[in-house]
Amino acid sequence: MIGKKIYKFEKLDSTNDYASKIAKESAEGTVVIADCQSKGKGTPGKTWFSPEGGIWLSVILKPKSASCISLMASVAVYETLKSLKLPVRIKWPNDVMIKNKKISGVLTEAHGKNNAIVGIGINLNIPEFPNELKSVATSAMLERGKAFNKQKVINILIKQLEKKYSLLKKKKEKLLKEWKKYANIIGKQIKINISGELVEGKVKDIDDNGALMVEMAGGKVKKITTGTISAEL
Amino acid sequence: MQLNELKKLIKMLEESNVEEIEIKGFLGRTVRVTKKRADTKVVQGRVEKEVKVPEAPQISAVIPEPLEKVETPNESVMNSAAQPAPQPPKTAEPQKNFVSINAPIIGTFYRASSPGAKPYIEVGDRVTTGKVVCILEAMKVMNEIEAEVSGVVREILVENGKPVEYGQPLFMLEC
Repeated sequence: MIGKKIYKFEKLDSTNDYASKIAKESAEGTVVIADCQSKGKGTPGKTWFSPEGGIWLSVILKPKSASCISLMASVAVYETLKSLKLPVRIKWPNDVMIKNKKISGVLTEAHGKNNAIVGIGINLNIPEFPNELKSVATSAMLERGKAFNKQKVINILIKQLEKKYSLLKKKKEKLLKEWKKYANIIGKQIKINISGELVEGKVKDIDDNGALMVEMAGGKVKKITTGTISAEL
Repeated sequence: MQLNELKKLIKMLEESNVEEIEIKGFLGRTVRVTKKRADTKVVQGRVEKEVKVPEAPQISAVIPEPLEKVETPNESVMNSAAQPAPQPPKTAEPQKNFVSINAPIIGTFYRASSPGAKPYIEVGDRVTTGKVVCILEAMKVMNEIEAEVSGVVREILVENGKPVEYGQPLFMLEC
């Protein structure tokens, strides 16, 4: 059960790193929360700006397969923020956005066969961002002009994670259907940056694990599981 | 990319004291690179490419499993998927096996857990079954990839941060 055991800290380097250390001897569903992180993990090479006011947590899961764990978490975050009446959408594969600015990100680290550390960052009560992030990041506070009760939002998030994780295990296709609806990318022309290489094409479909099936110029279909979408048309 | 991987294999063979490398599941095919006294041939599917390399002494062949050898004077390399596979020549030299660790999923290849961290493995390291050798990121899941064989790392075939295809060789181990 998610959140049955919660470790809370004022400050950690990274909740994912702490959760990784205790994962083996911890029960599934154990949560690690920090008020702020000094080295919050983002996409490799990037740190996640994690000051006080945000929700920075990691959940220890022990799934049979980690393939859709990040997608599952993004749906849980989506539902949580939607319940706060924020106009969110999922950007493939698992960023949660308001317009073109990121309000939440998910990064899962899979250790061995069935230990997955799901790191979730939500920009909740963050009044401002450093200059380099201003054009790409937003917070619930900036969007709504008020602070939210952080503990209450954490409680909603944990309940949503419990619900969506259970759905993933029992009816994966139903969870994927929700995710597809919120990500809304099928049929769109996209540009995606894969390790510096720009790939362009039309999203024909999404496979059972959330990978994009992109039709390139010339008709060839390429399966894409990695990279950052730079444009959706 | 495929050509680059083949070039790396050829270079590796040239610099080694072994005669032949066979990889199963190399971009979905079986590829064997053989060093003869005066030439090196690469056969992939039905396409044959010949590359001249410096004269090298004949040393024991490298084949991952015992196979029956069928060799004609003019054709020492063949596609094992289509024809009976060759057997290592009889020699007094100890046999060496080269086995690649291949990508089990499509994703982005990372040699370390984070950008500043020490890579999981380096050339020359001894790797045992179950050791984490790299990370492949797919769908924002950082998957630790474990070695399924034990051996010494002889070659790292992919650059850090580059995308890889399913089945693409990532490391070459000498077992």
